[in-house]
Amino acid sequence: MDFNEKDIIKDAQSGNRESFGKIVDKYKDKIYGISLALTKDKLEAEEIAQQVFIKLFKNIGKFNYRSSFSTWLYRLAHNTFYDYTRKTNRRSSRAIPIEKTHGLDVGDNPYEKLNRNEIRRIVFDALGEIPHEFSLAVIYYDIDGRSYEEISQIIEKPMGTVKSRIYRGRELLREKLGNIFGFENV
Amino acid sequence: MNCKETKEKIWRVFDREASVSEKTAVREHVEGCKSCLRLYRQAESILSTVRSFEKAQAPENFTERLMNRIAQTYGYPEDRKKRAGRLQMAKYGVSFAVGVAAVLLVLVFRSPQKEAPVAFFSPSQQASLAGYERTSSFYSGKEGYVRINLNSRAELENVSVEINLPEGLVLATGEKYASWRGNLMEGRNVILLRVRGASGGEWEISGTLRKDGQETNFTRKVNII
Repeated sequence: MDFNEKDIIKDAQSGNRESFGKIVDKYKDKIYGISLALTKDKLEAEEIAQQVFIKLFKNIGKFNYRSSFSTWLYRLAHNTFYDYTRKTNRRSSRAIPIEKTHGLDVGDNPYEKLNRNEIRRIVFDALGEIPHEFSLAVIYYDIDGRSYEEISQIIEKPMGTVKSRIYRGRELLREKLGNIFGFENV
Repeated sequence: MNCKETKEKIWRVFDREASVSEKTAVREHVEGCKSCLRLYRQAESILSTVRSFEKAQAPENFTERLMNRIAQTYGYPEDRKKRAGRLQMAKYGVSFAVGVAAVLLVLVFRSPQKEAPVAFFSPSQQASLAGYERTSSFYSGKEGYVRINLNSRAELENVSVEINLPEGLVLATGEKYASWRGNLMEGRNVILLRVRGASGGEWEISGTLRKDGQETNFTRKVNII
């Protein structure tokens, strides 16, 4: 944590609205990005991200500078993400975007027919369909760029568990995408 | 390194913590092994796509909406006087809206058994839907979400939903009409509408759900304060 951030956090802990806003501005894209990867729905992602920062507002006074602020915030956020994935039970629930989305005709040579955005959307959807403990590990490591150690602190599990969840999440992703992209089990 | 070891380590090559020797050992093997090379390329393309998600940006005015919501629901020290005034009004009979956050929690997590379902389709059909009547409250001029749950007992294809907003409510985009067409999954499906209170009063959002020539209407009560 740099000196400036420490000051801003102290001000926010004293109830300063402007400082709290600065913290939100610094982390909102990251938190929203994770929420979006989990929900696949912009409105719902915004709602979850807002819930994370409301939780931050209520708990910021408890931050004691013993860990990095970012890891501490992620630990708060992780509980919100975890609650979301647990309560929505994505096998029987999903958010419907109001705009119609068209089905994809993947054909015989899907990679040739699909453009980059379509591939991104398919991979994005697949990520939302794997069990949350694995998808969150992949999201933290591969999308958000957290280290094994940081993830271990965020999810409060040993490093070995973190590594195996990342590995399993990626393998599940490969299995999901296999049907669409014609990946073979080798 | 043989094929079995390579398959176990193939994702590891793309990890920031992987050592140079680990990466070299896997790469040397895949260069001479067609089957492992295919796995390597799959892993590479999946991860390059996943890692390209990092550029997501929070919506415009995210911080402003959050700060307004916090101010309305909890209040900053400088807002507490205003908040106390508002509560006082409630005491004298003026309705007081709970924050949008609280409303959402009620909508999302209330037990379905306690609510009266509104049948959309004939029970004789294999698939049937149920919606629930609830009331949400919003401040006039502020944005929030109205959440409409559609519970389906089976997967339903080609369902269309049309929603009209009443005088006191407008979509955040400024429009008064929203529609969706697609398949419903078994279980709970959720339609989220981002709306803005336009004028005070009790209003009703009306919607129509259609499938195979049948249609049913549903309503959703909203209180604008």
